[in-house]
Amino acid sequence: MAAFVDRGLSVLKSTGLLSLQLVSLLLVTVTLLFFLVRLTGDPAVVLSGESGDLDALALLRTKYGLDQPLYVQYFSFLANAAQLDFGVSWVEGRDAIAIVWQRIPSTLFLAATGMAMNLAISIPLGTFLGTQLAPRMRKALDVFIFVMQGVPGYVVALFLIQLLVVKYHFFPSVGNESGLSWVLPSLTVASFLAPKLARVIAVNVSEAMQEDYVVMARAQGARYSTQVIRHAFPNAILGATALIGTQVAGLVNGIIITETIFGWPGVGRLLLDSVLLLDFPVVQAVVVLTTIMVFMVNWGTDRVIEIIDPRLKREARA
Amino acid sequence: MLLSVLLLGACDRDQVQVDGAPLPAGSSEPRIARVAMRRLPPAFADIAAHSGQPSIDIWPAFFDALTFIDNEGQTQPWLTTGWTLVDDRTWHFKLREGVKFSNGEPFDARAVQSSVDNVLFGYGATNLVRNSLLPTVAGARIVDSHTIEITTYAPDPLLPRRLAQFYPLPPEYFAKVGPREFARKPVGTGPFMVTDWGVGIVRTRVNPHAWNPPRLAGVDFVEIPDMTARRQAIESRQVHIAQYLSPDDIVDLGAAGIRMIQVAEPRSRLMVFIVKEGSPLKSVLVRRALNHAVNRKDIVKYLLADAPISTQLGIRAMEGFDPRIEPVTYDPALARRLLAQAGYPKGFKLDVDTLASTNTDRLVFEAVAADLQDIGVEVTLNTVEFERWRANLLTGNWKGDMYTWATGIGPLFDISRIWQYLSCDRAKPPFCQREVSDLINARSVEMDPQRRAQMMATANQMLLDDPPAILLHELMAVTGLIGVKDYDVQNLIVRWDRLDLE
Repeated sequence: MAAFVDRGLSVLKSTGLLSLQLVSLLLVTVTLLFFLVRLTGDPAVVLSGESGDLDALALLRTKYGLDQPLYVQYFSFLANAAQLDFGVSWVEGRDAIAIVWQRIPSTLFLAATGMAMNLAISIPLGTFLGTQLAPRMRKALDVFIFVMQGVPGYVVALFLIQLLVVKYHFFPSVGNESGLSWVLPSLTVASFLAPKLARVIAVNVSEAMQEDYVVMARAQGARYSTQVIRHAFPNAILGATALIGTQVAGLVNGIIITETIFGWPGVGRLLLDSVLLLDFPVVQAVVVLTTIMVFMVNWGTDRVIEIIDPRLKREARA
Repeated sequence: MLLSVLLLGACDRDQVQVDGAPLPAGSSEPRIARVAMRRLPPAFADIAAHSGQPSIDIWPAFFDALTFIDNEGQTQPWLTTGWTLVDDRTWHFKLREGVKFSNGEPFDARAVQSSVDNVLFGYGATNLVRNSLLPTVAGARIVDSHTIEITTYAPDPLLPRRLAQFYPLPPEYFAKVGPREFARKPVGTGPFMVTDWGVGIVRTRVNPHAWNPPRLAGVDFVEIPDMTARRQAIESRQVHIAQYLSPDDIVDLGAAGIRMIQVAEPRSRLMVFIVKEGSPLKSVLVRRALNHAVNRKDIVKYLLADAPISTQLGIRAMEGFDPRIEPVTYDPALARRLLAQAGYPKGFKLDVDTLASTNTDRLVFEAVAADLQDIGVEVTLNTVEFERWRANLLTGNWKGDMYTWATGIGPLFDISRIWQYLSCDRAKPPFCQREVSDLINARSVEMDPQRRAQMMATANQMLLDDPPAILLHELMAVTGLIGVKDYDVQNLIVRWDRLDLE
């Protein structure tokens, strides 16, 4: 019974701590966000359009409360944000949060397929590079990955479109309507991530190949593939798990560019459009939801790492 | 993994690859054109919230306006068949008979009255269209089933032009769904009707009640914000039409079998003088010198695919545009003499606040700066973000000696759209010519067309004698077409009813 109570208290404590962390993070984020977006300019100027005059500006400022003192706007924003109410989009006239929710499935799909491609490319490639096989090919691939790590994602996207769409008509490059329209955007997202992950896996595999347990396996006559796949790789991927978690959390950057180039109707493109139009309610809603998701991904990554390597959990408790 | 993805693409190739007369990806139905847009209207089809681009790029596919401004700048009947001026503030508009909205509701005087009430006095009373496009309208009254009377607060000779962007609403449907849902599911009298307004795509199909039936079964508008991606979309035959491409694409895409056309935008590019005390720009000789120093011919030839050179404020579709006026001559020797006469034989320094949307814009500004350098005027180009630039335009709080401006005369196609920013009546006008201001103000309430034309001609001459800006070039939008014919654009309005597949 005591153990059960202890366990319950522990869960309660960790949940409380987690909630406190999340609330603190959100408070800092929304505060910074509130003031930063207002430094970017006067939305009334943008909303008034090309033909708006000073009267139109004044009218818009009154309509959206922009004529109120900044602290009044801030506390009003905080009170509403606490209820996940970010107001109505100044451009679309709909609930900002509803607009973001509508785009989330597209972005999650792109993130998932991009991440899947990233793993599908990085794991075999990184493992191969960490071995002693085919030195010349490894050298060539190493140089290729090194170069790819420095190539901006939009260049990769435009190159892929030029090659696989314009020249060979393999895939569509517009929107997300047809069956294969996910391929190139996902490949582009993977191109942001794969070089780094492959290199980390390569280093980890290479190091693991020198470890005692692999040497022992080798001494016992295990085949080279067994040494790599059964002994070195599981330990190498353990070290790369944190990076994978970071990559998932950091996908936002790559996704903004990818969605814009491929006309993919997701959150990244919404964020970019909203920033350009100074549509503060939508910008705020996107950032807050993204912050929550990134926080959850980071938390999830930590749990996954603990499951994969229980030693970490024991060390943390100790 | 990559190999399997490529194989997958190859297997599914028939769905995405197009032949010589392409059927783009995603359009499995025949006779549906697919258009790559720079942007879809952010407020969807809320006719009270917006006018001008990007709305007019797409709305005419499913909305009809009351009037239409043709390429010559003349106001033509559209949903109206004509109008008469009853007195200085009262107009009677005769409406086209036999027109129905796509949901079957009749288009008549009641629909127009209801639209005026809703858009100008109801939910849209504080919106942009009311405040900037139709601020003069005092009300609408039904005369008979197909005649509507519109009154204005003051004489407004531009009213028929203003109505070229006023789109009637179906009263019953609008009352039922309200403005928000209407914006997402609009119903108009245009050749097509919206069947789906999704994220980044708008699908339209034939309006069964269209009074001007289209040739196509539908048009799909796809938003592709990135210019290179739009180019690649048409290059790969995924779309039939790609709007707002770069002038640099004309040669390459033309060689690839894509028909490239240049469509006049209702804009011209200027570098406006900000005349302050003690500034060399206070001298009219200096302002003329700077105009003579710029080699516009080479700029448009090498950078802008031969876009028209600006000869006056505004562009040719504008009421009062004088086609007889020639561009200012390029004469650096004359420019130097004028500077010397003005007391600046060694030139001077100028700061120019520039707003550049594209790389080509930047190259144009640098070319102008180089030309001015040749007569001894050292120019520093300062890049200004749009929002800051726009705020400066409205408030007049400029830091530099000049600013660049791609003036828009749409949607009215009248000089008043430009002059509102140059008028002496502003708090901080960059440049005040009282006589011209008074003349343009008087013209804005002059109901006699001949007297209006005479006033405009006089104003044009005064502005040439004492230029408020360096006139540069008119803006052209580059569009790529493949597999379509009869793409007819008049003052940015595409005649979607005429568009057909080859």
